[in-house]
Amino acid sequence: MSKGTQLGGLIAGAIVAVTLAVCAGIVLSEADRSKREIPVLGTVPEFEFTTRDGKEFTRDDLLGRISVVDFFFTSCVTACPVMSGSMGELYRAFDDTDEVQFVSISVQPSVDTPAVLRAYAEEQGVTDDRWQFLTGPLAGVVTLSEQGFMLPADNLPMGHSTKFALVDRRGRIRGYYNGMENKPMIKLREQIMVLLETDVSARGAAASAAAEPPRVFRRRFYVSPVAWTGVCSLSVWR
Amino acid sequence: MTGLRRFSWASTIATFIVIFTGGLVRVSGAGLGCPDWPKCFGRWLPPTSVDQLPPEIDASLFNFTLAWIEYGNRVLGMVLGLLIVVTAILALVHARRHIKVWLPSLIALVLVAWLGWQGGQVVASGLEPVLVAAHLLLSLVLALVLLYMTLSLEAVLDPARGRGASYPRKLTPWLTGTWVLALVQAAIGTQLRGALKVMREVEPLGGHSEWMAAVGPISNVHQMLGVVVVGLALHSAATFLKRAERPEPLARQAAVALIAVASVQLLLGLAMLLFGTHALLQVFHLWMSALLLGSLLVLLVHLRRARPLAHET
Repeated sequence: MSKGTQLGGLIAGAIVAVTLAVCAGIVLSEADRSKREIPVLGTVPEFEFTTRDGKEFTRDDLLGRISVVDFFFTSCVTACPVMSGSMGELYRAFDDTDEVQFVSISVQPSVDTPAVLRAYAEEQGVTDDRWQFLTGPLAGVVTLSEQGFMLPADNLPMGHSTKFALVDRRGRIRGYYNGMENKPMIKLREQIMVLLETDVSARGAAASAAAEPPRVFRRRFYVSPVAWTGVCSLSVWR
Repeated sequence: MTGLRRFSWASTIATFIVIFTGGLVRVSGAGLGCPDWPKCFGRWLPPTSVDQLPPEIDASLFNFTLAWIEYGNRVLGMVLGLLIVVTAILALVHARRHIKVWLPSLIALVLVAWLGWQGGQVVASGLEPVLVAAHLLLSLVLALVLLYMTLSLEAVLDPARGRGASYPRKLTPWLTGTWVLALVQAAIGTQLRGALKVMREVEPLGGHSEWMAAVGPISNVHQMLGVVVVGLALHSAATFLKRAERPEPLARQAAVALIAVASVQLLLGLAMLLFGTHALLQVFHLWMSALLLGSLLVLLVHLRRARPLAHET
C-alpha cells in the first residue's frame, strides 16, 4: 500500500472524525440548551406560617433562594417517609450552599405543633435552617396547596400531594416532581443546578454577602445550532 | 456471497456507529429521555409537545430534545438488529461450511437481541451504573464478534490474499496482551464513569478536581493502565509496520489506524484529566476505545493466520 494511499486514508479518517465531532457538537449543544429551558408555571402567593422554632415564615422567605416545597404530616406512614427520604438526600447533596432551601408544610397542624416538628426535624438529621418545617392554620395550608401550588388537598391529611414544587429566586413555580419516584428526583437535582446558575441578579441578601455564586461544574458548549447544522449537512452531502 | 459480504461489513460498521450514538445519549443526559421502553412516553413515536403525553405519564419528565436523542439511538439499534438478522440468514445459507462465519453471526444475533432488551432494563432501573456499564461492554463485544466474522468471511472469499505475507511471530503474545488489557481498561473506564456520576449526585456543587479526588484510586489505575495500553499498542503497530513482509493491505491499514487511534486516545485522556470530562471529549474517548479494540483484533487475526518471518522459523 503506497504512502500516498496511506496518507489519503488518514485524511479521510480525519474528515470523518471532524464531521462526527461537528454533528455530535450540535446534538450536545441542543441537549444542553433544552435542559436550561425551564418553564414558569405560576407564582407563589402570600402566606404566613410558623417554623419549628416558633418564628414566622412567609412568602418573602422564599425570595432570593431556590426552594423545594412539599406537603406532609409527621404521623404519615406511607408516602411521607419516602418523600422525606428524597428531600433528605437533596438536603445533604446541597449542604455546601445557603442558596437552596427545603420547605415541608404540614397538612395536619392540629398534631404538628412546632415542638412535634422539632422532633421530626431531628429525626431527619436536620441541623440548620436550610430545611424548614412549617405549620399554620389548616385553611391557609389548603388555600396555598390548591390555589398557590395548584396541588390537590382533599381528604387531608392523607390526601396531600406527593409532588415537590421547585420555586425560583423570584418566588415563581418552575416545576413539579413526583417525590415518590427516583427519575423525577434526578431531574429535580439537575434543574436546581440550572436555576442556581441563572438569574443570579435575584440572589438574596445572605447569598450576596458570599464572595461569588456557588461554583458549578458545567459543560460549556453552546454554539449556534444553525451554523453547525449548515456545516454538518454540507459535509454529509458532500 | 456478495450480499453476505456487504451485510457483514454493513453490520460491523453500523455497530461502531451505534456505539458512537450510544455515547452521545449518555453524555447529553438523554438516558432517561424516554422514561419507558420500548415505547416513548407511551407512544411508538416520541411526542412533539407536552399535550401529546398520555395522562398517566409524569409530564415533568418530558424534554423534546432529549426524548428524540434517546429515541434515535433506539431506532439505530433496531436497524442494526435487522442488519444482523439478514447477515445471519445469509451466513447460514451461503457459508454453511464455514463455522468461523456463521457461528459469529448467530452469536451477534443473540447479543444484539440481548442488547435491545438490556437497554430497556437500563431505562427501567433509572440508569443504574452497573447496567449502563454492561450495555457499553456488551456492545463492544458485539462489535468485535461482527468484526471477527467479517474478517473470516474475507479470508474465505479470497484465500489467496495475504499468502505471501509473513509477520514477526513474537508480536502475537504482545498484541494479545494489549487487547486483553484494553478490554480491562474499558471496563475500568465504565466503573470510573459510574463513580464520577455518584459523586456528582452526592455533591452537585463540587468541581472536577473534587470529584476526581473523591473517586479514589480507580482514577489513578485508569490513568496508568491507559498509558500502558497506548504504549503497548504503539510499539506493536510500529514493530509490525517495520518488520512485516508483504503484509496484507487490511493488516497494514489496521496498524496505521492503531497508531492514530492510540495517539488520539492518549491525548483525549490527558485532556479530560486536565480540563474536565467535557461531553465531546467523553464521546470520542468512548468511541476511540471501541476503535482501538477493533484495530487490535484485525491485526491479531491476521497475525495468527499468516506465516512467521523467514528467520523466525
